[in-house]
Amino acid sequence: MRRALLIAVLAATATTTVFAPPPKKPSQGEKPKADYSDWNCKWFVTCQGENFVVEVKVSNPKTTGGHTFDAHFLPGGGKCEIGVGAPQFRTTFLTGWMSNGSVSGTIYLCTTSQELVDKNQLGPIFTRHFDASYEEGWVPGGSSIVNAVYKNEHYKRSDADTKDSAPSEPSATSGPYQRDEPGDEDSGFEMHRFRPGLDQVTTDEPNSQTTPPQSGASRIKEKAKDITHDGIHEWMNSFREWLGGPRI
Amino acid sequence: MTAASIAALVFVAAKPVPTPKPVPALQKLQEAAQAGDATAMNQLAWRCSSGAGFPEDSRKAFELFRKAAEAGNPPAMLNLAARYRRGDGVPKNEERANEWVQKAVTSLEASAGHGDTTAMFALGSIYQFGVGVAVDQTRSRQWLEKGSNAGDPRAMTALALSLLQADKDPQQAFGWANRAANAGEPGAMTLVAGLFAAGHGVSRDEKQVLAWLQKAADKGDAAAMRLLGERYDRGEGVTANKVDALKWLQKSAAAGDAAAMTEAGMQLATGTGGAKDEPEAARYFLSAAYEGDARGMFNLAAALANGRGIAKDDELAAIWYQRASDRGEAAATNNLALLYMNGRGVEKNAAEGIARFQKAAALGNVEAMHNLSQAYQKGIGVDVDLRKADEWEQRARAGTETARPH
Repeated sequence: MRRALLIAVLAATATTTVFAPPPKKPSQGEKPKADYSDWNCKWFVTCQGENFVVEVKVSNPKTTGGHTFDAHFLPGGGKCEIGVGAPQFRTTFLTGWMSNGSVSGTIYLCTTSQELVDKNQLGPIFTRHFDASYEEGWVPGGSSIVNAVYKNEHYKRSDADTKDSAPSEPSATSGPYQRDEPGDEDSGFEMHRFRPGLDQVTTDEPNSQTTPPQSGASRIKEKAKDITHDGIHEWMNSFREWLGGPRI
Repeated sequence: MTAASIAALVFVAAKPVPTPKPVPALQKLQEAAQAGDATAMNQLAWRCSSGAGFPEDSRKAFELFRKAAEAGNPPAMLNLAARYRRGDGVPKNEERANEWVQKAVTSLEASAGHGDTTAMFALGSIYQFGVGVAVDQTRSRQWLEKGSNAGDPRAMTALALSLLQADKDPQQAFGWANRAANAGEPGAMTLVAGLFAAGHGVSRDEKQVLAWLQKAADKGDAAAMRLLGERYDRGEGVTANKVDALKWLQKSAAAGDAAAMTEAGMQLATGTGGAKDEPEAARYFLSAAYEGDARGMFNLAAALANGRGIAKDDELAAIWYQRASDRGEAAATNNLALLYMNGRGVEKNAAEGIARFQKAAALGNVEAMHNLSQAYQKGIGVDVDLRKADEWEQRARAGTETARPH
């Protein structure tokens, strides 16, 4: 029996590949899921062009009704590299409330524009309200947060910046800069339960615990190594073409 | 890779055709070879050797290489030497192999002596990659310097790469790459963009990165198109734009970049930058797999195993997982192990499965570590061993911990 059970689990895993299986849509009249215990694990997130892993905590997962839904970075994660006082590490990625298929709350984001940091002295981390819905997968790891949106990062220039600017700039006020303006687009993020071996985190930078931080010079060398590797591959293909053979 | 050829590949995968008829371009190649054109004979030999457009026939390939080599074609001489060395289409003969390599080198040196820069580039490449000779980077660089000083952009690009590889004088490497780029060599333009992006041998300059990538892409450089796609995808140096990202990846794929085929397939499979289109994604994976991209093979296998965008076929899935696994794709090794454990597409064989889990785990695949832990816990393919089960679980957890963001 045990053997049969494991094989069943393995079979399910075998089908969990690059394509997340279609989440099961709750049918009419189906009772909402009352146990979210298996959500309390690592989730894989794509946000602001990065892929990373967070630890999700759903409060009172075995009760019906609403739950708090919090996602925290793993130790050493959540690094924001641009902004005054950077780098800074976020501990929280999301903190929100989930109920009846919807989840909303606050998302912690990284400042991404060096130009606007220079002009407005922005810090590395800022927050936004987010709205999303969630779906429960029918295979292990299939649960996901979908339709997730938050307000995109846009800015009005600060007083200091607009002093010498053209008159068409927003009138100088003594208040703080504003990040959002009317008509700004919404940005999204995606997250689902982490599938080890399938979900690849962004690896441009070293892991803060397993690898000592790299200096700027060694980062440049690493990048140069990649460029050289790609270039030599192209060189080899160019030579193979001369040999009359196919590219590899 | 055109849409038509992608569709053709789908057909081939679904129903293997043992002897496809040559398309018109291949017909012309065959005619030229029959008329005694040594270059055409050499190219046709390659196709016979790999079965690309012609029936696979290593003996016929060998004969064509031999005829072309005897007609004085240096690439054919090197190809012939490789067949003698491997015993491919002919009994192994190391001595004959060395003779043909020597003939090729002598012929190329004679051409180089008459100012043939392609021969200089070829000699530089032969010593760089150790084609029939021992790798000799000093000698390689000498030939590439001659070619570069004679104004050959391919030699300049290769010289820049040789200097970068040796970690010697990045400024000089940039200088050669820049000269080649300004002479219109697309690969050099992409290299220059990369050096500007890294700030290696030249100050970092994002504007130059995009400008050179754009120039290279306009010249049809597939790698530059892919890099532009990746930059739009990540918002690196440009405003992130998933639609433009997909557009560039598709252009790059159409220009033959296998990695771009896989990436475009991934975008289409997930509906990033456009409507979700699993059949189109599967076609991209198939093309990438045929081009030798390990991630493409893995994704194709996954599509076949799950029937996503392509008819479900466990046997073909197992074959492509195996090919991806052979290229070091640990996730493919793990998934192949699962097929062995379940007897899907392959004969059920727990021992084979366990061996592959171990191989994937050794490559750092966390899922394989979990699976090994389960196997030891439940005694599947191995004796129950709770200590080992715990050890693998601990390693899996540690592996998951390393999968953290920066």
